[in-house]
Amino acid sequence: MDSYLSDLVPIIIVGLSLGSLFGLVGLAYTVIINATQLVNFGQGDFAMVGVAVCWALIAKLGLPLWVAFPLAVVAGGAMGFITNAIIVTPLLKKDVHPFYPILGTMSVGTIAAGAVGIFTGFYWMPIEHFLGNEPLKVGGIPMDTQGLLIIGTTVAIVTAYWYLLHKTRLGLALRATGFNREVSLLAGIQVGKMASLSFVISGIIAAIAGVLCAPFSAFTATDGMILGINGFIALIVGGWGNPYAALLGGVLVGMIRALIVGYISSAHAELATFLVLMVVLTIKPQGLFAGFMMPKTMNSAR
Amino acid sequence: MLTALSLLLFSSVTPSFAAETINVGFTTDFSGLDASMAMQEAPVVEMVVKKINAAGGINGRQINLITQDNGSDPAKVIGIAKMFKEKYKCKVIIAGPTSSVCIALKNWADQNHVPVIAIDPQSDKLWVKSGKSWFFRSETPASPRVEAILARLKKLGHTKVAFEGTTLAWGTDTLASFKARAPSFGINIVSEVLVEPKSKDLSIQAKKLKDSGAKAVICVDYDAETAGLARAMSAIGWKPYVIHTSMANLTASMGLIPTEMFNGWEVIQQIDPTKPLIKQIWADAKAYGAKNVVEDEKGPRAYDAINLLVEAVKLSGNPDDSTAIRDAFYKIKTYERALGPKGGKGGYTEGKNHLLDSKDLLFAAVKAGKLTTVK
Repeated sequence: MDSYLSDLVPIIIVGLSLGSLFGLVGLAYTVIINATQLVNFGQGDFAMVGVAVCWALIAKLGLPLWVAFPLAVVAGGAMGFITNAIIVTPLLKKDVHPFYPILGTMSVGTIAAGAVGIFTGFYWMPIEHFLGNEPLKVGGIPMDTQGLLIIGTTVAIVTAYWYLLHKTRLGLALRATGFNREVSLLAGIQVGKMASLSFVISGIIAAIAGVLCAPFSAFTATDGMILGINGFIALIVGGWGNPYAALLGGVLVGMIRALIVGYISSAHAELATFLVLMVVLTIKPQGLFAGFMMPKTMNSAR
Repeated sequence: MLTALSLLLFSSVTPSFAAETINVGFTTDFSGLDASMAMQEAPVVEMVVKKINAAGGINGRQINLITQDNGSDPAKVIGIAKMFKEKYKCKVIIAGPTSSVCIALKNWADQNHVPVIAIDPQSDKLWVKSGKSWFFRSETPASPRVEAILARLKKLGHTKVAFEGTTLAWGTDTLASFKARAPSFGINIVSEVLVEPKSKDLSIQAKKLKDSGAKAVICVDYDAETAGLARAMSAIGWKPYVIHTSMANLTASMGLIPTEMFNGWEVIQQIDPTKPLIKQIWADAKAYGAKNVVEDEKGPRAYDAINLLVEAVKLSGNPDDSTAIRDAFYKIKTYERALGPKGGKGGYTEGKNHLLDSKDLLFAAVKAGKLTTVK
């Protein structure tokens, strides 16, 4: 029993950091869903582009991480802006079925992965731990500084996003667009700009998630998809269209994975993830935390 | 008039025969688990083919390498193999690194009677121990590696050993082989951890291995996961003796995190780096423009696989007969191999569809961030 308990602290840290990562990507999906009702299936590749830019700036141009990281985040935002400008908005203007722009985002992601792959030879894009390789010892228990950084950054991003959504006029406009596009137009909200902004924010969040994740498990050009799938699972498990629920969904999935790895076998972590997804889809398809921190009107609208 | 007509007729037919290419299917993991490995091996395969074609090809016929990405997907590779056979009329195929892909490909080759030579899968399931095989490889299978490692562990006095490996065929087969053979070496496998590909953080797994009381760790995993294990062990301040079964994966891992995290690790080595041929292959690959050339066994392994294929086609007497090509893999006697000790020559013998035995394997150790052959 003692060994079970002594294992628990590192398991919680790993679960929280992994879950935060999935939650961040889930949040990135949600930002776009709320503004456009669309799913960006290139989301994981937005994260990969962030990693690629950060790696290239460090490895090829010799820039320090503290310069490369913000530039990579800008690149993630630019990727979002471009995706919206060249694919999503033009298709929405043509009033096509929503499936078309969704497929368009998937194409942009795949092209980005291919382009980065040609540039890197599909080889690894390693990025060093942000805070050095020495673990932080708390009460004698070594903790990976990158994991702690992921948890802290996630809390900061979610807080900032909450502030944007609930305490600013811009956030009000973003929420209104997601609530009802037609009414927002009538109210004078520039719905197109809100969609563009949501893609930029989403790209920024995804790039941050990708670059923070890269030191754990080096990325290749095709690895964005895996992060994207896990983020999407977080979104479904947590609750569709609710940014905080997506985060909680990610944390739940991450914790379950870590517990399975710690107490059963790491060979079954993927299986456990999909089992959780199946259970949620069966018993509460709207997501386990669907109404969490959301105004009642917005909940009922969904 | 008739002579003139005959000349005209033959002049139009003969060049067409001369120009008829020998189609060789090449499928590897340009994407997927072993993409980093494939991206270093594929240029060597292309380089050798280009060199042979520049020298006139095989009996005047150029080799046409038809390349397809299988994405480390066993299902996809079957479709590709079928396409090689039916659309391109390939009579021989060269394949990439992943064991699970090659197991599927071997089954296909057995049923369709098209010989396949793979560069680097290690699974024992690919070993055909009796009769002639339709599947060959340049890589040494898991069992001889396991025996060599167990002998090494015994020599170093390690009796409590932990195992970390991938959940894919390479890891599970190698684990089974260790478990079966360890007792005869007086070695106890005290803990085992199988890790799914693309696992992000291996600190829980590293702690498990440490808590089992193991003094040595056998690592059978891909690049990122090997780096993850090294990082996690470093993070928990655990420095056991670690031995990896694949030089190619270990060297790739060393490019991902600070190399000092691998200090003291050892690895099975299939090449003798002092061989002039080895140095020549690395130099040629760089000159050819291959990206990310690492001076390890990936290049030499690919070099042997494609050259053995070419030798088999040459010796078959009929490049359009897949059975003759298969039989010719057993007739190669004079080919000087890049892999193995100096002076190693030849191809395959019945009951052994790989090249090296445990006695042919060397060890290398990481010292000050560099691999050095253990004497």
